[in-house]
Amino acid sequence: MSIVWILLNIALAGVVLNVLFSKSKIVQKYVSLLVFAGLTYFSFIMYSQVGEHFDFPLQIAGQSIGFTITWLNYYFGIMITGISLLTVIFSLKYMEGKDGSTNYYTVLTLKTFGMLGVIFSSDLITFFVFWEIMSWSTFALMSTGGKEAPKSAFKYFVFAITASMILMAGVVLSYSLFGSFDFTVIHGKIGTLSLSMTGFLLSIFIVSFSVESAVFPVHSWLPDGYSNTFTTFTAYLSGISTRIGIYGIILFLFGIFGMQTIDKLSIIGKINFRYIFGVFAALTMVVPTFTALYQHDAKKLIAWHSVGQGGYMLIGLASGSALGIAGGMFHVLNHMAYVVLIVFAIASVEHRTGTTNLNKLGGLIKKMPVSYLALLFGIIGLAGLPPMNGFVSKWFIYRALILGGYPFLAIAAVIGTLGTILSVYKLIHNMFLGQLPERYNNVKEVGFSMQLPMWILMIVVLGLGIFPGVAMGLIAKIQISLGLAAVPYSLHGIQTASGQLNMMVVGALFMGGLLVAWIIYLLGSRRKHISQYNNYAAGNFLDKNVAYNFNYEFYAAMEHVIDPYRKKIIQRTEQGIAGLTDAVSEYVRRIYTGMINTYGIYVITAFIVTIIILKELI
Amino acid sequence: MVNPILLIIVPLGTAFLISLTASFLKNSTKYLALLAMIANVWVSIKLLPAVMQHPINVVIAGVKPPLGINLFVGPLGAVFSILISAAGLLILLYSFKYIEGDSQHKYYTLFLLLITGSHGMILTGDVFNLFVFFEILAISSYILVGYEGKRNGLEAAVKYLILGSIGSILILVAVALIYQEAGTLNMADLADKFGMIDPSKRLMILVFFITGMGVEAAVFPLNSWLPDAHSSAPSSISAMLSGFVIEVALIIIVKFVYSIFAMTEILGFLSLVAVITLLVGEFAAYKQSNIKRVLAYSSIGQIGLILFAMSLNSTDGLNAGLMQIINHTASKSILFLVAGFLIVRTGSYQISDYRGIAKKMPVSAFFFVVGVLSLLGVPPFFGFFSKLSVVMAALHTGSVFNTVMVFLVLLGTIIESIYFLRIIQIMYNREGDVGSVKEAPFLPLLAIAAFTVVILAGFLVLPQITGYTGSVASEIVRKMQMAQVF
Amino acid sequence: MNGVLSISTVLNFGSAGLIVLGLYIVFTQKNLIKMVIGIDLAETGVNVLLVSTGYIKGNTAPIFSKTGLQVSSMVDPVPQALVLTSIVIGFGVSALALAMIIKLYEKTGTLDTSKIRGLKW
Repeated sequence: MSIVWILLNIALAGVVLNVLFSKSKIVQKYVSLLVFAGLTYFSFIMYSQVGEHFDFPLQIAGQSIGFTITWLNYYFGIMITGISLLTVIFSLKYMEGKDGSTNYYTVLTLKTFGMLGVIFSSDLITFFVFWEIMSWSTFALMSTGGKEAPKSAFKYFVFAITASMILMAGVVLSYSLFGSFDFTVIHGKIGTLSLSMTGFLLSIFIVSFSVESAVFPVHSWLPDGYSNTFTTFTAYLSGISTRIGIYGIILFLFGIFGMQTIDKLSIIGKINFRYIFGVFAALTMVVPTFTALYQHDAKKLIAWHSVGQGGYMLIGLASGSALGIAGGMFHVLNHMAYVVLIVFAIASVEHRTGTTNLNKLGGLIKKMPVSYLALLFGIIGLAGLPPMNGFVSKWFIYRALILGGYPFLAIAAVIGTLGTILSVYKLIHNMFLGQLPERYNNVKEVGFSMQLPMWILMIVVLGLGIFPGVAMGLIAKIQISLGLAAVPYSLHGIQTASGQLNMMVVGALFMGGLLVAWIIYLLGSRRKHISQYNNYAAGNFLDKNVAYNFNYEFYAAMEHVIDPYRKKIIQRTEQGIAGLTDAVSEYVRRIYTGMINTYGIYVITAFIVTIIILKELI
Repeated sequence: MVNPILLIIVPLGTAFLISLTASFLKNSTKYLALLAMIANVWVSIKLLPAVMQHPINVVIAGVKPPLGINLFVGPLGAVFSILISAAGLLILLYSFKYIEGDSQHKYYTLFLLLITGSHGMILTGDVFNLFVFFEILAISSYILVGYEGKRNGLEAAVKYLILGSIGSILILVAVALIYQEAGTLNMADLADKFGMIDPSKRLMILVFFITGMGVEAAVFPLNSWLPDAHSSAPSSISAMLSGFVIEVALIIIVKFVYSIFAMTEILGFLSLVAVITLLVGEFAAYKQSNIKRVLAYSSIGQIGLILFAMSLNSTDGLNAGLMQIINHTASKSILFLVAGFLIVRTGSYQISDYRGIAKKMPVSAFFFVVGVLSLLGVPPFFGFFSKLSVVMAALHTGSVFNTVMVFLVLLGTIIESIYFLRIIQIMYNREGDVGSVKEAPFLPLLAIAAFTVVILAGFLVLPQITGYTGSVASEIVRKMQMAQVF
Repeated sequence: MNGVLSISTVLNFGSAGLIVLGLYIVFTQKNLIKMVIGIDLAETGVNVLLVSTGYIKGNTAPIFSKTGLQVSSMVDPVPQALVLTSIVIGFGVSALALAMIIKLYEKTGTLDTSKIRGLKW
């Protein structure tokens, strides 16, 4: 019995049980916990079956379809199940007494089922079928939650269905070109295609995956979609769901088309397919990151970063070097760990205060120290500073870009990081630092079941930062299995001819720096703890009646600087397309005038036109 | 072996019987109709395996064709008979609770006549008989559209009647020209002799026939009656009209073009018309606020898709088109039937009045979603496989024209998904409140559930289904020959 | 031909004329009753066309009315059978149309098609 079957059957059973017990939330909770624990266990032990292939007892167009286990999908599989399990554990308390949560676990399980199917599929049909299940369940997931959720889910749906249709065209086009749906068969025959056809086919697939992974011009569904739903879903979606698009890109770029084929797709000199892809990735890094600065809602801010961080992964893949690809893949894992950590911290705050609005929060550090620590770990990772995991993968990516001779892309990456640091500082400041509003005086830290996932993720974020070799071993296996060069790694970093990274040293230096700063802080002994109201500003004493909120409009000056560059082109284009569709529909509708005489004239016109045209044909 | 003529005789005879016995059986006449439909389903199912071996040819009144009239039942006839009688039976069950009032026998009489006409059009081997059955089908559907006697229904029925009459005039001209030029009315005989006719006369016959039949088959721009008629008819009738009546007319066009006229050179034109039909239907549906008009325009779009698949000039394309017909029959019937009780319960046709209705009518809403998903071609529903086959057949031809057309078809699907999803979102709106609305009664839900089973379980028996549709496709592709038939 | 129009030609052109005229009425007249008349006219045209297809010059009606009539001296009986059917159908459709129009008139109070546009777009 293959483990893929076990996994998919467990997930499917989970969906069915959740539907059957839709009346009892208690049963749903523990069934889901059990299901996801099982999924996590089986996906972790799956490495024993890498390389095996399992056919589905059904044939499409005479082709057998099924699943396969490779190192690449093993890597994504453990990420999916692991993060789902943590989400479920976190949700046990978080979802208590929330409205509209009857379908919560059902859609979560269904979505996981869809994603597992996508990554383990060994042919285009299975891939597409599960892709559709995944898209529809993402839609269902996004529809739960707040009042605005259905609207933003609808926006996602429009993008997703467009992407699906493009993907369908790609699937069928591949079939008619290669006579097979199977990935390995297609990979074998890819060299026989003409260059223009290869480019066309690859573009179809990449465009369709770009929607799911929110690449720059088609990213606008993500921030609203992710932030209007339940906060736990925000974590789950930003952490792993978007990255299935990255999985598709990795699979098709390296697994199916292969590096040699892609490098043939050159336009002029360095301007080749990868470069164009890299430019879009760079835009994805920069634009959404700076948009994040504007957000006044913690979830929305993180959602925008979720778009931006995708850019780092893609630009790493686009660099094409072993180091860059490793960095891109590693960043998927790292991003998942720290973004989920951040959102869990936000969710904890929301659980206690009922809001994620950054203009209303503040000063919670003493009330919720664990959440504060979680957020701190998370944003250090997100900003890409040592000693957290984000630093390692970003370092790979910068280095790959510089070594590969893409200075502009490297600069874009640095600018992106700058924006990230600014906005995550806003995040932590506005939530945990500064003035504590009076109404939050009685706020407590969240309970153990919500702290546990945060502790686990903190260990992962820090652990991968100091011991990146744990993940690099798996990534090296993926690279070799995809026919790419692997990065020589050690437990604490990498060892290449062009340079090495030892996170133990970096971490120690960083810690040493902090230690020095702390000692200086201690030595300057003129410190005194005072109440937050024992203070004054602009000559006025602050008491609880003075609404002095430093958090409000945190980056007003910065926004003033950026504003002229914000053209909202994407927004206008989208509105334009929507308006055009409306207008076309409005005009087409008017063909049916309601006047029977006109209808008769249509018939006779059609008759005459048919005669005229067919006369030419026959 | 059962005689396929029963498929026509039984509903026709029962229709008269209902009229005769209406005075004392009153509304119980519906059970007569039920018996007739059950018999029909039974006959058509018995027919299928026999026909798959060898086509059945029934000579009527002992005069041999080409002089006499015959029924010709190949795989096409058998598969469509099952489709018509099965869908008819389920819609009849639905009607038991849906149709109210005193003189229900009129409804059931006309219902059976509609079934008679559909069966007749599919099974007959004679061109003039085709016209007669076409008229039976058309007249009964004119009346059924206006059955409720409301203003909108009557308006739609009158429009439908006038356009339908123009269509039948064109068909009759085609029949007259056929007899004038070929001297025969038997389809197989005509197929033999058609090639000998003067090309300009052939063109005239073809165009008269296609435009005439195209009115009933809802090909753009001949379909202007459809949105009105399908949206104003009683929902059970809308389900029949959308579910198989337009498909029957469409398959007749396809059959004539392929196997009787054998003029496959016009197929490129037909596929262009098909894609235009599809886009017009989907775009017109996009802004509708009346649920049944949405469904009606969506039917136009689906007909475009089916015709597109069938005009690819390949067995694969015909096969895909037939699968799409099966999918459309099941899923559009579900949608119309659910919409019927949504309208009955809320008293409104406006989609905006169904806000949050899923709480009150959960089963109906669920079926609606299943119907929509299958119509859109979402895996693992049956519609996915049919749409996939259409796209595969089109891209397999390898022509640039068809590739462009496929992208337009997919654009149509995107538009279709958007407007259907909008309806679903409104139905599942959490804040909405529709007041005290009851779920639909059990019997109609049972009928809808049967359609749902087809869609859900379709992929399990996919090889069998494609086996049958495949032999229909190869029957259509092959030119009819007198010698083979007799 | 003898320089005179043959009866077939007359029938063909006559029927075409009737059809065109009938359809012209359908497209231009806004009165529903007139439209029905137009359809009837066009149908008559088609019937004439049908009859003309079976016409053989100089032959008699295909009825064994007198003894000694040969089949070869009769016109083709098939179109005549067809025409009978078609006339009956045409009659039925016209009757139905008029009945429906009466019903519609009761609801709307008008026969003007430009005013009966409750269903559009």
